[in-house]
Amino acid sequence: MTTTLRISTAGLVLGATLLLGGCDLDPFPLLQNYDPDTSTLLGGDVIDLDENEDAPDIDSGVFIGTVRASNVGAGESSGATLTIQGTGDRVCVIVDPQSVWRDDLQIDESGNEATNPYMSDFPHDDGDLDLLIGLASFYTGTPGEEIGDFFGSFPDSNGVERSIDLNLCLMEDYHGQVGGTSGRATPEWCSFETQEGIDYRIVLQVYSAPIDDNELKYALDVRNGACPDEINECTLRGDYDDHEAELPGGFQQVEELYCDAFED
Amino acid sequence: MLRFCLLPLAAVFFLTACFEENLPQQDLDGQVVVPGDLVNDARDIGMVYLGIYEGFDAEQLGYPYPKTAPRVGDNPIGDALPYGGTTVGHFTYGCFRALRCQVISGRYESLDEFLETNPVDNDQGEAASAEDVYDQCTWYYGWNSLEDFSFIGTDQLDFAQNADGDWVADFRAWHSRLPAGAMIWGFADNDFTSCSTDQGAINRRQSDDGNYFREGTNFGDVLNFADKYITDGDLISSTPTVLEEDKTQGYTLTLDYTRD
Repeated sequence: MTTTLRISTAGLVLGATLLLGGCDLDPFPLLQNYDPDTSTLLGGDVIDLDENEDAPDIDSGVFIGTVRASNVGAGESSGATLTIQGTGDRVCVIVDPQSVWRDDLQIDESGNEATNPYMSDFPHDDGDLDLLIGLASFYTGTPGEEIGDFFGSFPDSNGVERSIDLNLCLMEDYHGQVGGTSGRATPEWCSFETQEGIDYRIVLQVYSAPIDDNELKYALDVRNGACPDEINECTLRGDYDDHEAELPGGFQQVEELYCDAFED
Repeated sequence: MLRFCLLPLAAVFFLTACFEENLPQQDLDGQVVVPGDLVNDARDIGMVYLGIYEGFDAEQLGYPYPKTAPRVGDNPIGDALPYGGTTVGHFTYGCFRALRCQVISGRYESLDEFLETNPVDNDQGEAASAEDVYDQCTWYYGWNSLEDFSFIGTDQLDFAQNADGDWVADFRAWHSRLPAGAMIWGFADNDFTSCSTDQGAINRRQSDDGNYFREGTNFGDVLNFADKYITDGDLISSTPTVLEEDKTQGYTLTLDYTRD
């Protein structure tokens, strides 16, 4: 009886110790939208690019913008929206989120963090944007207030409420199936036919933001016509932060380093 | 003391059986029929896709097809938006890489029958025998006897021939919306167009043979955009079966139209 009690007491103490140990971990810094300066969670930061004086438009050149992290757990997406007017022709939209996917491999083929002090740093400056485009009238969000999508619903002839995605930006995945999105720091693009004079809304939805500064830079280009056959990290430039650390080859930023090596 | 604990536990256990979720989804059971005058051998029947759709549209594509939602963007056709669906048979890896997307489960009674429609070379570049296939499959899957083969055996067959000479198979569409007035429509992909060799399970012997490949499986949008996968020679149901109120079984769908 005494032995049983001792074992039970020891078990309780051990369990309590293990549980209390868990309380020592502050998980917030692990979240992509945690702001260490204010100890708060960012999210729901929506930018209406139409209000910019230099708002991007068709063939206006590459626009460099910044968005902040989404609060995924709370469903508060951050991002930016832009409205363009249809030309009656096909329009291509390309967005390249910061900055370079697996730039560490480009810099150091050894893949060894000990010999490459930048390797552990560079993934922290990558983010992911998802691109949605549709008729502005079908957009469910509010520019500057809330990120939405282009899902609509209707009752079908059997009385069943159905949902339909009216997103015109159809990207193919690795298997050639419509509905794909690119991963971190990788460009997304699509082209679509427009009707002249009709408003179309371009939506950049933040999927993940760099955890080094909670700010995601992106390069955005809206072009008349179909998209180029090949689009890669170097098609649009400017989606990078200047690095404080010195980079190999005297480069000031990873995109320049990656693209110069890439083009060789 | 023990009885005081057991009583509430038993009550909780039995009360769970009384819980009714009232989900709108139900299982749909029926049979699919392939006319014997269109197919002589059940091994020639490809993977059969069955969907439950809002309605029927005989005009849009010039062959029997479900009603679709509006076309969006560069999609070649609108999404048929199925309520649910199922298949009769599925793409299975036939133990040889050369047979990816060539083998349907539920079609083969024996290894010899399997080899008749799926001739393949062994490691020496010679025509594989039934013994070669057996050895390869037991190595690849770790099976110990022919009873373990998931796509060989009389008890594995999907289709049986009825008195009229037609091929009949049971189907069950799991957890689907079944509104009265909806219809069952389907087709048989007889030339494996709906299979992707870039998808499916990764070679489960990769660590042994050092090869990376996928075993192959169907594309994910076949019921939504069936037109992408229906090609000449495929069998289609020309007369959809309409669902009745509160009836979830006893339906029959006939694949009586050949796309040409």
